[in-house]
Amino acid sequence: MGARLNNLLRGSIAALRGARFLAYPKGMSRSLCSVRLALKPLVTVLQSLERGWQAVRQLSGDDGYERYLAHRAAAHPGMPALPRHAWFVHHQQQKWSGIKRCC
Amino acid sequence: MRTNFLSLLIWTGVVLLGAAAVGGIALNRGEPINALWFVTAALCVYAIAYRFYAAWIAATVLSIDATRATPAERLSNGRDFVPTNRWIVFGHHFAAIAGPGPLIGPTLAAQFGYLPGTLWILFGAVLGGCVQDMVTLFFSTRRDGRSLGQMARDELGGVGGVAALIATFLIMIILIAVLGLVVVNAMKNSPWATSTVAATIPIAMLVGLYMYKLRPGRVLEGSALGVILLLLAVAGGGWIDQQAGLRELFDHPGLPLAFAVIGYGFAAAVLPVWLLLAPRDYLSTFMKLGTMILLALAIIWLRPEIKMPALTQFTDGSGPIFGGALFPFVFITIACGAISGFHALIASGTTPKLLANERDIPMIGYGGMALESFVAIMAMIAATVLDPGVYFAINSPAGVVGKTAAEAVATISAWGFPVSVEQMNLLARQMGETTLFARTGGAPSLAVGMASIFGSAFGQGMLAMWYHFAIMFEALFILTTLDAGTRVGRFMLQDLLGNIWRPLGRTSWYPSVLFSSAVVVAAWGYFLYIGVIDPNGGVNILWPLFGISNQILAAIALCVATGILVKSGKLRHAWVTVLPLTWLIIITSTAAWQKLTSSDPRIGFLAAAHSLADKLAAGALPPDKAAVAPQLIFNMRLDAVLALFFVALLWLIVIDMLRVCMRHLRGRAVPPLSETPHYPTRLEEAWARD
Repeated sequence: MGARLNNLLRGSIAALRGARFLAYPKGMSRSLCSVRLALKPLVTVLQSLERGWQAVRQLSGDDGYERYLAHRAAAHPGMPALPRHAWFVHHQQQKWSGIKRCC
Repeated sequence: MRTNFLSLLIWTGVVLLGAAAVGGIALNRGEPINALWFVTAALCVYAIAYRFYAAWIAATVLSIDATRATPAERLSNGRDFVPTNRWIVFGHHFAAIAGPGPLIGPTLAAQFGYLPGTLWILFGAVLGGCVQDMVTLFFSTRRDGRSLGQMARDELGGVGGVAALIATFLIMIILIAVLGLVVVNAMKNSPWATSTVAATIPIAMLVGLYMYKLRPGRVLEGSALGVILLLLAVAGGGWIDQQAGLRELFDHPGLPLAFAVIGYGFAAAVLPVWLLLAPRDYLSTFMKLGTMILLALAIIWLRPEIKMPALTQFTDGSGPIFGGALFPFVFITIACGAISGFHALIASGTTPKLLANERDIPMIGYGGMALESFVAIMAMIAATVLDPGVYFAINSPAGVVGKTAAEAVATISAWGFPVSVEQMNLLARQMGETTLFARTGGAPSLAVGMASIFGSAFGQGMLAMWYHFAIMFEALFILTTLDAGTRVGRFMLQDLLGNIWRPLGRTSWYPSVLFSSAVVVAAWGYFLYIGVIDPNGGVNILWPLFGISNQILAAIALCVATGILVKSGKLRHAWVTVLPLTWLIIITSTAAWQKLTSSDPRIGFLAAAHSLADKLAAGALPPDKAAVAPQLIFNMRLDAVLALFFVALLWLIVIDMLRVCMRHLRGRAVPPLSETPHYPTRLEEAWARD
């Protein structure tokens, strides 16, 4: 769900951006033109939504596995990475082996 | 030039507003004062301190270097060393440091009136706690994210390292015991609270299974599911409370609940983390952040009147909630929220491994603590918006004000805080409780305060819901601290035992896991048990002991920082850490001295043991009290030994630090600085931000 929402937001931002640069068809009505003018602020709103959602995911650790894969791909390309389930167990074990919560 | 003038104008405004707000709070006598003044004073003080003091410390004292690669960058491994956006690090750091402490301490300290606690929370934080967190974060970042104990060993020598280790272990035991006591007192004879808190355990396990089996690693989905279930559990608790056959199942006095908490603590420590601890932590973090934001919005929106006077007559030490005069006990009672040594354990070890750039240190170290201090201010507001009579009726133990409602009401009204039995009964009915008398520990009174604030913001009809929501929220993260603390205590003990017999040190060897968990749980379970059977409420003994141990840990962190500053040739600026350190030495030594030698049995451990022993010998105690008296007498003597031990530990490390500093200043050999050499950062972000 977390990643899907991210993709949905990203996809719609890209689509709306694309729509802004479509050529004006001949004889386009006034109202359609004003819709095109509203696209820019809409993209800005969606972008901040996307950024906020990403922050929530990162803060909660929801995108942890994606980050892990990205790190593996960058630091050890070609080496096999842990499957999601094994990664999660390992990550939890490691996270709770030190002082993580305070009074 | 224009921006300079503008910023001068703005900051002059902030200074004037802050001075007016602090002055208004401090000089106001007798007239009701609005909570918004507290919020204004706090925000102005934090803003000024952050903009000027923290910036000056960062630039001049620590010489923060934005071009230097942090351990997160140099040792990046995708696991614990990960360069992370500073707002994300801030969120992680704040979630880790903010626990139940800043909510409970101010609630208890409100017995002196609103003024002493508020001033200490504000100035203790900006001059003490924030500085401690920030310098510890900085020094640990410069040392590959090493822990406080390791830094003490490297920079001061073996004595400091061992002292830090022992202090950490003991503070953990006392902390868990006192938090356990708070939860037990909140659940005592309350089927609604008990069933809701009990429901958090299967809910956490369900969420754990979801994240482990069904949808591995989907933290947000699992947490959303859990939060919905928790809210249903609060409502469900209300339903159970109405069912004649069911409510008895959850209606228990303190002792069985204490044993349940002890059993739970042991189970949580030996179960795999993914099943209970990790999911509970996700839930408690979301609940904690959400509730605190909600409380801040409600206070700003409602602007409630503070009803507690600025100062009460209890500044002389005769207070019903805990014995001891304003000096030093307000400074001991409010540890978290002003200065908390435990933060040094988070600021070293965990957070430095995420920092992308040293420049983020003031915001995360100093700013994170300022935010926690603000949480403490909100707890102070929630405690002082209650009628003082109601506040004292909830928080005073039966052993002090009298067993029956009529007695308690008469005693409290005679103090000049009028309250009636009808008023308390009505309040208890509104909150869905049978009684609110002698519900010590701070959690119930905080919940009543929060419920009345939320109730007037979002509708009075839901008071009982809000009350039990607040209890559930407190219990949720108290139990998280209990789980996590027991586990850490177990690791520390295994580490220690491994030196004696190697297999005991293996953290995955099950017999050793069971054995060391049992030892840790027995240690805090003992203090919890004594706290529950103590007719004076237990909090009176345990909370000051916790405060002293937490402050001593802070003093150890400041000793390490001072030693490093002096060894780095920054003697001229070492007052930045010496100032809070000196204050901590004064208050903890005075408090420990009074706890040992005071002839008032409500303050002195030994006086209390003597007085109880005399009564027991004279046969003056009723049979139920006489039965537990020998245990209480032993415990008070044990507490005296502990207080003495804590303060001896403190002086040992202070003298060790002074020794190292003197040797360095005289040009003799000292342990060398363990700072890692300078490597230039390669992160593009660091350059792009300039």
